[in-house]
Amino acid sequence: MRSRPKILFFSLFFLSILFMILSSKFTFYSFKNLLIYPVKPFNFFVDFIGLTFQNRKILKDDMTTIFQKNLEISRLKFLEYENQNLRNLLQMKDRFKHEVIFSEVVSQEKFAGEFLTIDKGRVDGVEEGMPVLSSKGIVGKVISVDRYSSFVETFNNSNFKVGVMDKERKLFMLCYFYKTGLLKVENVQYDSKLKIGDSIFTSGFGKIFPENIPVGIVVKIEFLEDGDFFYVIKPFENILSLKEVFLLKMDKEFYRNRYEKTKKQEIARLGWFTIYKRVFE
Amino acid sequence: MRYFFVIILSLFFLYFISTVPPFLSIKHVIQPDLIIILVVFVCLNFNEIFNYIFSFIIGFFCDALTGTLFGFHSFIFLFISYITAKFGNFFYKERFLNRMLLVLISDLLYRFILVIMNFNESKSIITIFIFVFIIPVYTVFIYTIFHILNRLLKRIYVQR
Repeated sequence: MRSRPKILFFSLFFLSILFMILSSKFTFYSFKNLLIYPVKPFNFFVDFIGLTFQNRKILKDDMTTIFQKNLEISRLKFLEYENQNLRNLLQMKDRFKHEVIFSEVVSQEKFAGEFLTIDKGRVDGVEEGMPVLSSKGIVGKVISVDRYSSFVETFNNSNFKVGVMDKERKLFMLCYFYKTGLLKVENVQYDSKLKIGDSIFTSGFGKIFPENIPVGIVVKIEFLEDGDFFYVIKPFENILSLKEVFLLKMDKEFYRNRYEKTKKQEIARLGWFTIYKRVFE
Repeated sequence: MRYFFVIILSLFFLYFISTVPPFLSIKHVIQPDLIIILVVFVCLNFNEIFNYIFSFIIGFFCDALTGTLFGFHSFIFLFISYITAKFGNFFYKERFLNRMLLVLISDLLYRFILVIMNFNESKSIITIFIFVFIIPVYTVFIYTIFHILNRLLKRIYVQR
C-alpha cells in the first residue's frame, strides 16, 4: 500500500516524459484546442468589461495614431537605408582617382534587369562606354546616352563581358553572362585553384572597368563532359533592388574612339524581329 | 466530490489568470507564478495520490494555454508535488516559513528548467535574472499576502 503513490508518481512522470517526446513529432492540436475551449467565455467576458470601461472612440483614435506612427517608422527606415547607401557611395568615391558622377536608377527596361535607365545624361558629362558601379561592386556599362538620361547594359545582359582576376592577382580570366543574376568564368587554366566562396575582382584589362572592383563570389564549379570546367559567379550587387549608382570618367578619348567605331552585326532574323550584336572594329 | 471540486475550481482559477494577463503583475513584466502557489497549496493540503493526479491534469491544461511542449508542465508539477511530499516528511509543513521556502524552491526550479529549455533563444542577462530570481521572489511575496489575507479572513470569521 505504501508503494502505491510511488508507482503512481513514476508512471505519471514517465507518461509526461513520453508526451514531451511525442510532442516534438505530433502537435496534439485538436486536443490542445479542446482544453483551451473553456477559456473563450473568459476571453469574451474580459474583452467586454475592458471595452465598456474604455471609451471605444478613444480606442479607435489610438488605432489611427498607431497606423500613422507605423507609416512614419517605415518612412524613417527607408530614409536610413538611403542614407547608408549614399554614405557607402561617398566612401567609394574616395577610392578612385577618376572623376565620379553619382546617379539614380530611373527605370529597369526588362524584368530580368538587363538594362537600366539612369537620370544622368550628356549634359552631366556621361559618355558611352562608361563603367557603372555601385557601393557593392560592378553593375554594367553605359551603352547609349541621351541629353538627360543614359541607358546602362548590366551584367544580366548576354553581351556582358569583363576581365577579372582572383584575390592574389595570379589568375586573369574573362567573365561572361551565364544566367539571370549569375556570371561565369570560362576557359580557366587547368591548375587554377579557386574555391567556392572566393571573391573575384576586375583586372582592369579592356580599359572599361578600373582595376580591383569587386565582381562577385564563386558559388559553384561546374564540370563539363569533356573534363573542362567553369566557375559560376554570383555578383555582389542585385540589379533588381538597385537604387543609386555612380559612373567613372576614366578615359574620354578611349570611349569615343571605341564607340564611334561600333557596328551592328545581324545575327538572326526571326520574322519581323532581328537580333543584332555589337561589333568593334 | 471534494477532489472533483478542487480540480474544477483550480481550472477556473487557471483560466482566469491566463485570460487576465496583467493580473497582479508589475508593468506586465514581473508576473507571479500563481499556478505554482496553487500546486504547492494543493500538495500541502491533500493526500499524495490526489496530488500527483492533480499536478498531471493541471500541467496538461497549462501546456495547452501556454503553448509549451505537451507534458512539460505535468513533468514539472509532478516533480514539485514529489518534492512537497518529501519536504512535508522532513519539516514541519504547517509552519509558514517552511511553506514560503517551498514555494520559493518550487518556483526557482520551474524557472530554471524553463530557462534551460529555451536556452537557444537569445536573452540578455538582466532578462534571465528577472526571469529566474526576481519572479520567484515576487511569487513568494504574493504568497505571503495571500497568507495574511487568509489569516485576517479567518479572524473575522471566528469573531463573528
